[in-house]
Amino acid sequence: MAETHDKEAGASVEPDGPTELPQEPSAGSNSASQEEVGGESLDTNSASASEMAGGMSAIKGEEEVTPEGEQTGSAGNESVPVEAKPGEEASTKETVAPEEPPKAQAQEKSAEEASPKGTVAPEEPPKALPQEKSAEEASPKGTIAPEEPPKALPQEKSAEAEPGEEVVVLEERKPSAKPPVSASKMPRKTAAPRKRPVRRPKKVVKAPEKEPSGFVRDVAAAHSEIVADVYNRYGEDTIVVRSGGYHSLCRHLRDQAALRFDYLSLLTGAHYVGTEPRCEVVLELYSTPYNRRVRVKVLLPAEAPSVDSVADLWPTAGWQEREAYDMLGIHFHGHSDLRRILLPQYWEGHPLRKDYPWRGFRERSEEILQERLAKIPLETETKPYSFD
Amino acid sequence: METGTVGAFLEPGEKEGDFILNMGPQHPATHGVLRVILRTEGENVVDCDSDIGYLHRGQEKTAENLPYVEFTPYTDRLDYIAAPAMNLTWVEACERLLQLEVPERAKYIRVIIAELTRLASHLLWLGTHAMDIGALTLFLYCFREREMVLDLFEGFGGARLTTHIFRVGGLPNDLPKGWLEDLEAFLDLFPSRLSDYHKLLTKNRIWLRRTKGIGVVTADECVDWGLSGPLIRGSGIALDLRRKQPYEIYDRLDFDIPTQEEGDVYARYLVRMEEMNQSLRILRQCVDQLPSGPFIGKVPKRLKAPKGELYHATESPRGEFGFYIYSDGGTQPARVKIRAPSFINLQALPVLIRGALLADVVAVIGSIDIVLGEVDR
Amino acid sequence: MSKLKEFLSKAVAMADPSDLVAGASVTIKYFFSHPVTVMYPFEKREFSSCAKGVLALIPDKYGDDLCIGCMQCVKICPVDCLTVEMRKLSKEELLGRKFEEKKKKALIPTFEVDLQRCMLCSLCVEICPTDALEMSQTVTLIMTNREDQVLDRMRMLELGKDTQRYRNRLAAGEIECEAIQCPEPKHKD
Repeated sequence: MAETHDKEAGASVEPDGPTELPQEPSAGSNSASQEEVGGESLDTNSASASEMAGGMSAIKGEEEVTPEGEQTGSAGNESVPVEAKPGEEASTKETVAPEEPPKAQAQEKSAEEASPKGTVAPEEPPKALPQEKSAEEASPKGTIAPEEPPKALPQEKSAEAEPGEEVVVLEERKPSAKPPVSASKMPRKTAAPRKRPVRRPKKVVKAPEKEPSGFVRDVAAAHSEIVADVYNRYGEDTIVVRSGGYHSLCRHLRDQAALRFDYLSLLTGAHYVGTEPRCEVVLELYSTPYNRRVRVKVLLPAEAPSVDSVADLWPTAGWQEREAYDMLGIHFHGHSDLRRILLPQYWEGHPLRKDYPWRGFRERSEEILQERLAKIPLETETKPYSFD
Repeated sequence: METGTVGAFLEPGEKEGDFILNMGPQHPATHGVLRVILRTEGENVVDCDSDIGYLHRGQEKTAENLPYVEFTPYTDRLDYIAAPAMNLTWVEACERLLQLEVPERAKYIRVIIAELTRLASHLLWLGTHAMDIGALTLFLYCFREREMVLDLFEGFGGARLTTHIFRVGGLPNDLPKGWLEDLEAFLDLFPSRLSDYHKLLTKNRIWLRRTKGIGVVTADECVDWGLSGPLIRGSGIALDLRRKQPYEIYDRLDFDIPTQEEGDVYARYLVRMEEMNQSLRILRQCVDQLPSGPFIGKVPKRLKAPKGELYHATESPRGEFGFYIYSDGGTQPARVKIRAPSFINLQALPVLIRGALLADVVAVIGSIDIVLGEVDR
Repeated sequence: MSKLKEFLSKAVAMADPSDLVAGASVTIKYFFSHPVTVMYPFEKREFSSCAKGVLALIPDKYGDDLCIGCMQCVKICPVDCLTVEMRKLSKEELLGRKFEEKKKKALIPTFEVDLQRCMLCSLCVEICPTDALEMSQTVTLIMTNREDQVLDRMRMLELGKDTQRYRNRLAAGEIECEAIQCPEPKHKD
């Protein structure tokens, strides 16, 4: 099932809609280590820029020329696109306008706008740029772009090696890695890596964690055989339960006089792929007498997930479980009426699972829909009403 | 009718005179594309089931495929009657997730806009609800005042309905010149208009007959069915997240949570009317206390949330509106669930219309105040 | 006896006309007041100066755009309604040209916005490093065919000219508000 979905997704990428922005795979393996080290450095910048260029050309289905792409790829020969004609003509005509901007004013302007925001290429403001402010007037991208590939090397190296070695390695590799670099740009290359270790300690944002509240710890202690984990992130207590004891724990949370979680705010499911594919059912509980919240999570297998229904404890779970079934294919045992709720009854697949493409299956045409519709019996058959 | 289940699409009963009646999806009194299937005995409604999903656009899937900032305009399309409230919840959830600081001034302006949203939403509700029941006059009066609120939105954010009025980290721009004076003029004018509505409806004998004792729901049922907003407050439980779990600057403001004990359509009407009054109070305080300063905090260019999950809920005009966001450490959320108050309130429709007459169904649906954009997402 | 009492109290309540009088007084009050509506096609209401209309490209004093082709707008657009093509100019080519925007070192042969997709969220305007984009005051999107809904660069520049003029006049205090018309597309045939 999953493979076919993937294939279909790949096949159905249409040219005009960028189904994938330049994004990491939505799984947990989010290239965290790489990105964290690189951070906002030029290296990632170039990587993402080229990524973007790739994405762009995929979007438009034709050759896209981005600043970096041009510099590295086709430095001299310019391929003028056919569509460029009118715009170019217009601009050439207009550039011959008599008025000339006062030089001094323009200088001033460029100096004041040399902030990272303005000068920079697509992605993030590389912090190295302000340092090169003086040269920027000449041609900012011209100076930066050729540098980037060599910079990638010291960065990779420095992950393992000492900063001292770094320079040596760099100088060894320089000629082989990038022959077309002109001699005039050599010194700057060595200057940039030296700055890097200073920028290395990048602030890594972490979810604020603290000790879980007392009542949550009590619950966990009382049900240690079914509670897998207890934590508090973002000031929200979470109890992770094994699917076996989920219903009894919910009953305990609702009925215990000291807990009284009588209000079910939210019931939802989730499906994650990646290193450990899994499904989840998440409950947000609120206690009206004590005005506090707790989250209950049940970890389920990714294939054919099923769990007990809690609609007998909180009637409001009825529709929300139906939605979780509709969107994620989670089966709730004991639910009296587990039908699709938002999607039509003839729908196939569960859209919020990660193996379901974002924009649906394109080949599903109107005829297929009609065929499927014809197979399904009408939802209600009213018996003819007689007026006698 | 047992309350644990919302039966399958209904079958006609055994009894002579049972009838299945389809209401919607194009019925004007369902405020959108809601299809209600009713089982009736004569003119009494015995059971009902709702068929929703006509407006389903896959907002949750979209949210999982867009960076945090880019989903903000999509939230306009959830509850399009109260779009700023949706924006507010999303940007607040993102700010909590990314741990961004919001300047004081932005917080105050956000509360101003959020309360204006409540006014606009309740005005639209009042107009259409009264029109459903038969009081046609009020509809245009309410829209006249709602236009003023929308003009204020337009003056600040540039758009009237799908506003996209807040940004992650603050606001898109500061208040324009003269905006606060416009707001104050509106605040001076509105109480007299509100008393006009009261004169037209509150003591009107037809209105009382159509709303009193209809669609009764008890406090316990409210909690069981997870009802929120004016529904639960109309049944005597003062559950308002602005007070219970304050966000922005609501903990510094002085306002009451109006409640009624009866739990019928009329009680909900009174609660909403009083809420408008309280919103005016909040607005006045905000205008008086509005500090100066920056309107947007420091926001990194590329937002990357740490690993973790949170649930952030605010009190939208319709009730507890929340986002559950699970982040796996990327630039996009891995899972977004929208807690839509309309969806959950609509679920209790069979409880609300038990024993009602066919004509009361319209009144009951109106008193839940659903927006189908939010129900179907 | 109690029934009689109940009946009597009901009858008194029914006979009391205060609720109806109060309601009628409101309607009569507004009957004599001025209308608040605008007769739309003949009269047009004024927009606020920060109303978000169709996307426009702001021209510089040479009539060219200010875009440097950084593609940030394309990246941030949530609905992917922008199509931008950029051609970088070499140093030789740059010698003969004058741009108001000093950072501009590229030509923008294509800049299109698909109005059928655009949801006027103004994220692209806010992220633009050179303020090349702006939301115009145009809100009329009536066109006779689908293709015209894609605004090309020239029409966006035309809109931008109007927007600029509007902003200047607004700054000078000449006007309160003024709506801008969407430029007619120039058909190929």
